[in-house]
Amino acid sequence: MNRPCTITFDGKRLTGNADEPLIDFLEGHGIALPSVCYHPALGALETCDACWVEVEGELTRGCTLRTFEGLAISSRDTQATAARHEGMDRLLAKHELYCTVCENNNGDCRVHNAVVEMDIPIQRYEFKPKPHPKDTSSPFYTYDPDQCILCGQCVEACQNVEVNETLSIDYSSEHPRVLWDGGKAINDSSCVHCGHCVTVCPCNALQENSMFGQTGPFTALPWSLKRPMIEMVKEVEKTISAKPITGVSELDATWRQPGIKRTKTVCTYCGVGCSFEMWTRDRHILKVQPTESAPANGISTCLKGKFAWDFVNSKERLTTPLIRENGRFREASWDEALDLVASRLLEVRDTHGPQSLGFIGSSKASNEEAYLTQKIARLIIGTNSVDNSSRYCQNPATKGLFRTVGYGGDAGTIQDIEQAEVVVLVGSNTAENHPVIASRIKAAQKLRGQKLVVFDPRKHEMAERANLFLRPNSSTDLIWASALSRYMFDNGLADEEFLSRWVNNVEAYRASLAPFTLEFAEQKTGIPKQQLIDAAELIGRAKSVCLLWAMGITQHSHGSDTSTALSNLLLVTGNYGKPGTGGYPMRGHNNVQGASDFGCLRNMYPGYEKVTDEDVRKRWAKGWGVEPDQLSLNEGWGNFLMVQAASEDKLKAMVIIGEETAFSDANTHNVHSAFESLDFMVVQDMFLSRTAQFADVVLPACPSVEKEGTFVNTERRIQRFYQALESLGDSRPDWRILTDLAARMGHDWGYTHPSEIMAECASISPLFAGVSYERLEGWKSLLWPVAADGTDTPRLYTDGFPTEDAKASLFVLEWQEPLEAADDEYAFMLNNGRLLEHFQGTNQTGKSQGIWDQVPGSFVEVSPELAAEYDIQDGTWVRITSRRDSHEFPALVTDRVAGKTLYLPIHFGKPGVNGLTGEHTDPVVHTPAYKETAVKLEVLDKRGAPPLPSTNYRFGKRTPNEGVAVEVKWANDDYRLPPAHQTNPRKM
Amino acid sequence: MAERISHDVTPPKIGPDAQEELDRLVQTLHEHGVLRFANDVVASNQELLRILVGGLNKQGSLNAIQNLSVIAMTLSALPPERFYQVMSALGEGIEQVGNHRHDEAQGHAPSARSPQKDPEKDSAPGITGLYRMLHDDELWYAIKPILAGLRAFSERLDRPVDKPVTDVTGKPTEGP
Repeated sequence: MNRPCTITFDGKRLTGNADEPLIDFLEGHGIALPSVCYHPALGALETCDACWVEVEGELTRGCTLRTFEGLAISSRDTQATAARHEGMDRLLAKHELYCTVCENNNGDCRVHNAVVEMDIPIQRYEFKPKPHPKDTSSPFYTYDPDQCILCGQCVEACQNVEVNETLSIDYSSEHPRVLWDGGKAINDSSCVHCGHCVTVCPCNALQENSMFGQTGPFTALPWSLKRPMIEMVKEVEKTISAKPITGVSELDATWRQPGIKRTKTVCTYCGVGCSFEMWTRDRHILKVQPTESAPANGISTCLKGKFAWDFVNSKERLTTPLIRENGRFREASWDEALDLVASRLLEVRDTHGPQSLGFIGSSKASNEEAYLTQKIARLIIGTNSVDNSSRYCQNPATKGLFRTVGYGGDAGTIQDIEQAEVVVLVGSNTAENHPVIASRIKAAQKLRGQKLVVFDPRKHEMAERANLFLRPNSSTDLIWASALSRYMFDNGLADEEFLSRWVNNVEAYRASLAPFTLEFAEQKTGIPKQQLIDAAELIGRAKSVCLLWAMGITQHSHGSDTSTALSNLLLVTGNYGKPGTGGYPMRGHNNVQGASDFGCLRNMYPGYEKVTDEDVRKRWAKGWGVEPDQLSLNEGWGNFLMVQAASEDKLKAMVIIGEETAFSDANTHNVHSAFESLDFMVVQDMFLSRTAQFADVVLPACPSVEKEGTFVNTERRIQRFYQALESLGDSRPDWRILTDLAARMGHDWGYTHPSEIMAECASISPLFAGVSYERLEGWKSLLWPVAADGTDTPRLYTDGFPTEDAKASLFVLEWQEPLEAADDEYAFMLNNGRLLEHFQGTNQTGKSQGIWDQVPGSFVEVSPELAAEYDIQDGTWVRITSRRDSHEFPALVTDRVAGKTLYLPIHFGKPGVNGLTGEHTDPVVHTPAYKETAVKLEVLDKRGAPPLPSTNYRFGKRTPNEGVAVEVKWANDDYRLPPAHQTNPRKM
Repeated sequence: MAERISHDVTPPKIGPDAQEELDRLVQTLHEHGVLRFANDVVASNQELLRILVGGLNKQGSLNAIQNLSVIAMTLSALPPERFYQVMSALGEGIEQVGNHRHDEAQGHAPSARSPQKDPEKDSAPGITGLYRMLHDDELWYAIKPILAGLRAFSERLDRPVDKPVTDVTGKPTEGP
């Protein structure tokens, strides 16, 4: 709780929080102190000179003040008023006012608002165009130097929030402007199009391209018409003053409001859980606007969350149910389609038994939809064969956490990761797969000296930035993790106090570490012993360590064991339950955490309660109003096993909701033949996906922005999303489809809103007891477990672990060789994963042309040493052959990969990576070992263009700096402190 | 035996709802050609605006806009009671001027609209008469405000004006 204080502002006493930025404090009291360059997320940049006030007779920039008891401020003194006006006059010398035809005049333009608030009669300095053209090279946003006020918020956001370190301003140059990589076009630079700069720009200097011509009644006019209108108004303004013109633009901003809808939503790409406002006008998505209120991401987004929403209005959207008939799909009514689905599913159940049906819930759909999926499977069909795509990614991590600490989720929040002394990334290309979390780590390292340790075979951006980068051989992570644990015990770095207080099985575990000497680790992992010692010392001596891991760990044949080893290491060093500590499996889809949390698991009810537990079954049966024996006590099949069962004719029917199983499951040849052998298959999706092509009935579903619901992000944070658009055509939200389907199967649950589904779940599952839509309203969120009174748990294990004796357990492990490794014939390992620009099978990102402009197609990354040995250049085609199949790709030579390891992006379906991957899986959770794919490489006599265009950000050269160098501006001989007038306001 | 059922009656619809009112308005607008005109205007808005802007963006038009604005600005600066006073006085003055008839002054038969005038009063005053007028307090009282206005007018004309907005607000500008 903040201390209260009372300040005096223009003679008025105001009470609020002490040590709060003055601008925010005043805003909370309904007082707008003009400030253009101040942003709550960026702090005081002191570049605009528009917020001068007097404190104790001295002129001070208001944005630099923080409140304290007795602070007395005057804004009405002649000097302060004159200084503010001089500051604004300098901004207007750089920024051409044409608000009524400007896309940004929507009520939140800070330049426009400051002009209005200050009631400026006329600007002192004439606007003159700068000798720089508009930069329209990016497919996503535009920079207009003539509108740029040189406030530097974009620079600050790029350098110190996103930390992509692309933008700068050289205030000492003759005609300052924002520079990309020191002077490149946007699209030729290292810009990752994350949109931070556009989000914080206070005016229209940086503008989303989707806004152009769309926001106001006059914004669609061509510039051939806008320009003479602007010149005419300027001429008239010299006589009649700016006030009537400002009045018109105020009217314009006002009449735009009814047409522009701002809806809070949550991103549907990765698991960071970015929330933001989506601005729409009718069905047109104007822009995505993050705010500092968003609990997970604040003002941050990545390229996909900010700009890749074209799929929502794609002409390829399914809008009518389809029924397979005579080898073709024909359009059908909802009644006909749902009746057919209901009758066929019941028929299969009655003929072949409940175990003959399987359900795959969606990691992209809502918690409520996951809940209904498992409820239909368990209650109506009587099977526990219900799963989600976490089977393909994070189930091994969850298993590792269950074995050691008890909860299958991140131990803390993104704030914990930010405040850790050391962050360890293992098998996680965080900068591309969880870009906003990567930004937090990069900022902590850059601004606060956080240490970053990266274990990864691939030298991605985070590896390049790491204080320690260790490059293990594929599938050997359990060894170094265990060796580090042993090092801790052997060198007095184990947290003995924590172990004795909170951890069981310490001695047995310590004894099991005997084989894991540093020498053994060096031999098997290929990491030099000294590097292992350096890492151990850094981790062991740190006060707080967060360890993040992802698919580079889990998609191996012993991913559960390696995840366990990582959690063991955190326990040994006492890194659970304290600020800045814990294990963080990075969830890959927006709701892959929630799909598991809400019961799409073959062995768990919602809230991770075992289906084999009689008491649990009784409670769920009671909650659902059925007899306990209606619910199966047997574990079902997961995704992978369902597909195998289908191929063995044990599974007869499947319902797949929003999952591209035909693309994402390993060894797609077998998956496709398994689907072909099903008696009946239903797919709910937005598009006729590859999976849907195998279906007998396809039901058109809505994306998140056309419905309401909740998601759970990687932090365990439950967030609400709201409906921004009406359903397209005859498509329907999945929760409605499932409710209607259940009714047609004899179970009319009568849900009219997702909140009712959540309320039902909360009334049965202790983990979500206090979750309600009211408690999740707006930007509010809850991190599970949530007690009945609404108390949530941002940090787990602060008061012990969820076991009988409140203690964690060290889990004994043995090193096992991977199930597939390189040999003489298949001499290369094919690493694979995502790229920043695309997502999964491109069903969403593939609808944005701008994304394709960045990455036009597939390629395989080849190391420089391999390229030299095989005479491979960018664009040389190679044939990659695994033990399953053979595909051809153009090569990209890069030192991101080393030696005999290749890297193949997973996004491109023809040919796809899963034609090459095998069916060997983790024996505990049956996650396919996608990363264990041995291949041979053959160079083809075929050369094409380099697969990545030269404009791709990976070829840019970043220009790191400390942020906005306002001191350079102040040090300039020309600079005059307001209220003195400026000789060259366009530069200053 | 039929069990008692609790039932909420669906409220009956009484009077036209907003949608029906709107439909009627749209029909009326259609019958009177307003919608057709609005459609035409909207469909051709760019061309219309181009013509409008082209016409307005001529020096004469810009002068007219600014001059009209000057009048508006001047009027906006005058308190209504003062302006009323001046306009009333101006009105009465005009009335008097309008009532003046030279033929009456020259001894012709008075018209039915005008009162009888004294020929002596309309004849040239001569030096003596002028001298007498200079001592006529009532006349001097009438002329004095006009002379004061003339003086202010003359002084204002002598003051150079770069940009009217600067003259009004006191703030110099290089132009927007």
